[in-house]
Amino acid sequence: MRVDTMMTAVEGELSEPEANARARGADLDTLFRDESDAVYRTLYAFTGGRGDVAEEATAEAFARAIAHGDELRDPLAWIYRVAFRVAIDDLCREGREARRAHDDTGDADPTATPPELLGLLDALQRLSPNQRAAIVLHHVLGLETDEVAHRMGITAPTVRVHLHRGRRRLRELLGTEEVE
Amino acid sequence: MTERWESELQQLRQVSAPPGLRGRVTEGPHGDGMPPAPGRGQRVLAGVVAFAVFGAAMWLAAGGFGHDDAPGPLATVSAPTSAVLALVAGENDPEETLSFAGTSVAGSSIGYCWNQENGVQKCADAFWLPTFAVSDFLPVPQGTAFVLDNPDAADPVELAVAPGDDPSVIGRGTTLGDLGALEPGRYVLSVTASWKGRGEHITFHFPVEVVGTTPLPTDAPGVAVIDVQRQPLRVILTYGDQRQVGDISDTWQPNGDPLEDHRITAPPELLGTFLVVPPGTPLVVNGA
Repeated sequence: MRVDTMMTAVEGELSEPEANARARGADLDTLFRDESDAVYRTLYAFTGGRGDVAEEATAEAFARAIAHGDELRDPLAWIYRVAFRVAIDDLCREGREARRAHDDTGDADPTATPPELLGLLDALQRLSPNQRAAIVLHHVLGLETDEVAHRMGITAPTVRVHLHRGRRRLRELLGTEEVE
Repeated sequence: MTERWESELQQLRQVSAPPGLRGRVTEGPHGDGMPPAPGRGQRVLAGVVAFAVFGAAMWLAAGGFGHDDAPGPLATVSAPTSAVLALVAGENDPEETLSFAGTSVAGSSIGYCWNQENGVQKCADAFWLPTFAVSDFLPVPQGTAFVLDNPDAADPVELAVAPGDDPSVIGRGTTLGDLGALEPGRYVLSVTASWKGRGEHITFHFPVEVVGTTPLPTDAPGVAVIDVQRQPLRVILTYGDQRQVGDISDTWQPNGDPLEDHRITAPPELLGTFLVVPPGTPLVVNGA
């Protein structure tokens, strides 16, 4: 099942399985329309402004979810976890290839990142992956702690620990002054 | 007033997905649809070693050497007939294991909070559930009864089972009795239990392979040998007159370098049948 086929209008009466499949397709299409920006935004921050990695991870996660059809317990949480994992894998692979080539090509392309975000994205990269994910989901997407836990697949008390440590580290890196 | 880090984070709310994202989704998965698995070599070796483990389990199930009878189906031998699912309230963690014929697998959990005996609550998390390797699956003959050993866990214990190896796939609710009727294949058994005052609704996942009947070994040639050949990549497992060849040369690049992070599934001829070896058989690996 693909997004384009999911959106194809079907004429005539549908059998119950067909109707169910179509409803599921519509659900995933709605999920893509409503959530793809947020998933991409999260991965963009998570990868330190690597738009290419964020796009691939987001797309791959949605494509896998569509391929799984109705088998997933919670498609959105599943998509987030797969996207995080795909991004981590991509960055790790780039790192290994860069080390083999004695090259730093694994770094973000500075021309692709808005200059006003460079400091923040660099600071985020200095957090642990779990701290980074928790900070972005909570402070950028505005999710409650329980929902952050759900999407990361970890427990809420652990999310609170990651948030506490992540905030402390960001204060160290970006300064403690307050702004309007 | 907000702190600087908060203000900067809010700038990220303006980031939106590129227009080509939908097109990329319509291409379908580029990966294999599953979370990362162990490396190629590890998987190949695990797959091969699984034959030996399986064989050992089968031999154990048959009661070991010394049978003069002709080989027969497992269901007819006097052997462990129950797989035991043990749910124990440990001092520091819930402990869930599934055991059969002397082999146990520990359950994998994505996370839980547990009130330890010292009064401190501990939370444990995994960033992602594992994709089980072939060698992780506990071989259980078809028809084996599953029994629950839960001296500490409060009822009810919820069971679900899903075909395949992905714990994130929805499992079908099931009962202990129905588990014995599973068709041969690999399954993830999900068990959710609560321990009063210790932890609530904690789910563990167990990889189980239900296997069909297989002839028993008739002799013990001695040493099982795994030969890993590089060009082309091929794994050969021999034990006595039994021999299996797995050709997975398509995982190599034309220049002979391995494809980085390329995940493979061993070909059907490697997975569809099993070598049968007795427990304790030395396993020699050449060329890995």
